[in-house]
Amino acid sequence: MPVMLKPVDVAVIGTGAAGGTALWPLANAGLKVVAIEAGPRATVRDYPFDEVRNDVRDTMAKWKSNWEVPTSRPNPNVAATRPLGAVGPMMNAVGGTSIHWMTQSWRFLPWNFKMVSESIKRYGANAIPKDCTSIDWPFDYAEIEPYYDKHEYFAGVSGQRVALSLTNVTVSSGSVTVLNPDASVLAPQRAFARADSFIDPLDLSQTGVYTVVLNPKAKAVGSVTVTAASGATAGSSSGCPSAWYTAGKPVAMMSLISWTAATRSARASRAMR
Amino acid sequence: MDCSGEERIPAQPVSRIEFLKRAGAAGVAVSIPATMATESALAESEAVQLTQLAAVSPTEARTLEAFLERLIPTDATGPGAKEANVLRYIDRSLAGPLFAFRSAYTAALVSLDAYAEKKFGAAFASLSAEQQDAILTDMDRNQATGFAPNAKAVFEMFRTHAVQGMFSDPAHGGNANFVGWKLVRFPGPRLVIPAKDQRLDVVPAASMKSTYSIPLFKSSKRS
Repeated sequence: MPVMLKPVDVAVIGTGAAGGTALWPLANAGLKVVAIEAGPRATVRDYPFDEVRNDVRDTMAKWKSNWEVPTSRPNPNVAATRPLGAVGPMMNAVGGTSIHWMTQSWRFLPWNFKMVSESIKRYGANAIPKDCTSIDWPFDYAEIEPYYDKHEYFAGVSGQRVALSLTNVTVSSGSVTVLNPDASVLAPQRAFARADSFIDPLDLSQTGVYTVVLNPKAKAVGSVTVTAASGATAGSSSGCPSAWYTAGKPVAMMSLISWTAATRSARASRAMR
Repeated sequence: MDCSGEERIPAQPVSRIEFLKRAGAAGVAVSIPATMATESALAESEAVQLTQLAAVSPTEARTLEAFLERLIPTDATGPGAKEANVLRYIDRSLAGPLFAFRSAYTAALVSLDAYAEKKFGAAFASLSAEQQDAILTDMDRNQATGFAPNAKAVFEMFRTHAVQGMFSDPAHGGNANFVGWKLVRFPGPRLVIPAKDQRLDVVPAASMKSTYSIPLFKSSKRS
C-alpha cells in the first residue's frame, strides 16, 4: 500500500555519478532533499584488492545492475544468458559506480562536443551519412570547463602536481613544510621571510588531505598568503613565482593566514587532491 | 601453451632433480617453493589434499591435476599449476562460486579420459607428458572428439579457471606461497604505491600477502 511521505523540495532518484553529484549543491543551497537508491551502502571494506572477487565473479554488480543487462541467445533451443563480466564495474550502491572510480574522471576533448560540425569542417558534408542521428552537444568545451574544474576539485581527481607560492608575507620569518596524507614529509621544512617564496612543483602521489604547516619563528606575528597551483610543469623555478602562473593554473588560495601573539602557529590544511 | 604464450613443451617430463640441474646450468634464478623441498613432503601434502577435496572426486582430481600440470608446467621458468595448487582453487570454487560449472567438469573429465583411451589406449593421468601435450593441443585446436559442447570450449574452461587459480589471491585456494605472483613479478596488494615505486626503472619491493590479511579488508566478504 502506498505511503504518503512528507513533501520535500527535491527527490533525487539514484545516487550515482549524476544524481549523487546533484545532491551536494542542492542540499547546500538549503533545499530539503531526499535521495532514493536501489543499491546498498558500500564501504571501503567492499573493495578488497581481489580481481577474481570484484571483476571475474561480478561481486559488485550482482547486487542489482547485472540482472538488468539484456540477455541474448544464439538460437531458441538454449537459455538466454547475460554477458558475464561485461558490466562488471557497473554497480548499484549509494554513490553508484562513482564510488570505485579510482580518482580518475576523464574530460571530453573540445572536439567531442562538436563532433558533427568539426567532422564536416575537416572532411566535408559528405563525411556524415544522411541517416546519422549524431548531433553536436548544445554547449562547447569552454562553457563546461569551469564545471569540470569545479567537480575535479570537489571529487579529488588524481594525478596532480602542485606548486605553492607564499606572498604578501608580513611575518618577519618562519618556515613552511608540506606533509603527505600519511604524515610523511612531502616538502621538507623551508624558511621564508618577507620576500615572496616559492616551492617547486611536487608530485602528489597519495590520495587524501595534504597539510601545509606554517610555523612563524619565535614570537613573530603577521600574515602570509599561500597559493597552490596545479599543472606547474616547469623544472626549477625557485624564487620566480611569475613563471608558474603561466605554466600552471592557480587552484586554491588559502585564506590569509595570520598570527597574532596569541596563536603561535597555524596549520593550514586543505585537500589538494 | 604456458602462461607466457610460448610453445615450450619439453619432450619428456622433467624430474625435479633434473629441473634443479637445468635451472642451475642455465644460471636462471629460480626460487624453489617449500613444497618442492622433498619428495616425501610432497607426497604427504598430496595425500592430505585428496582427502580434503570439496567438490571433485579423488579420481577426477588426479585427471584434472595431470591436465593442469601440462597446461601450466613446472619448468625452468619457474613453478607451475602444481606448486600454485590450482587444483585446490578449482575444487573449492566448484563447491562455491563456480558451482554452475560442477557438472561440466564431471563431463569434461570423463570425455578427457575417453579421448586419451581412444588416442593412446590409457587414461589421461597415466600418459606420458608428450602424449598429454598432444591431447591438450588437439583440444586447443578443437580437433579432439567427444567433448560437449566441443573440445575448444572445454579447453578454454579449464584454461580460464587455471589462470584464475594460478594468479588470483591465495584466499581462493590457489597461488599457493604466492608462486603465481612471483612468477609474473606482481609485488602484492598495497594500499599506497608511493611515487618512487611508480617509476619505470624501479622494481617495487614485494609485499606478499593476501588482500584479506590487510587490516582494512580482514572482515571483507570474499565473494
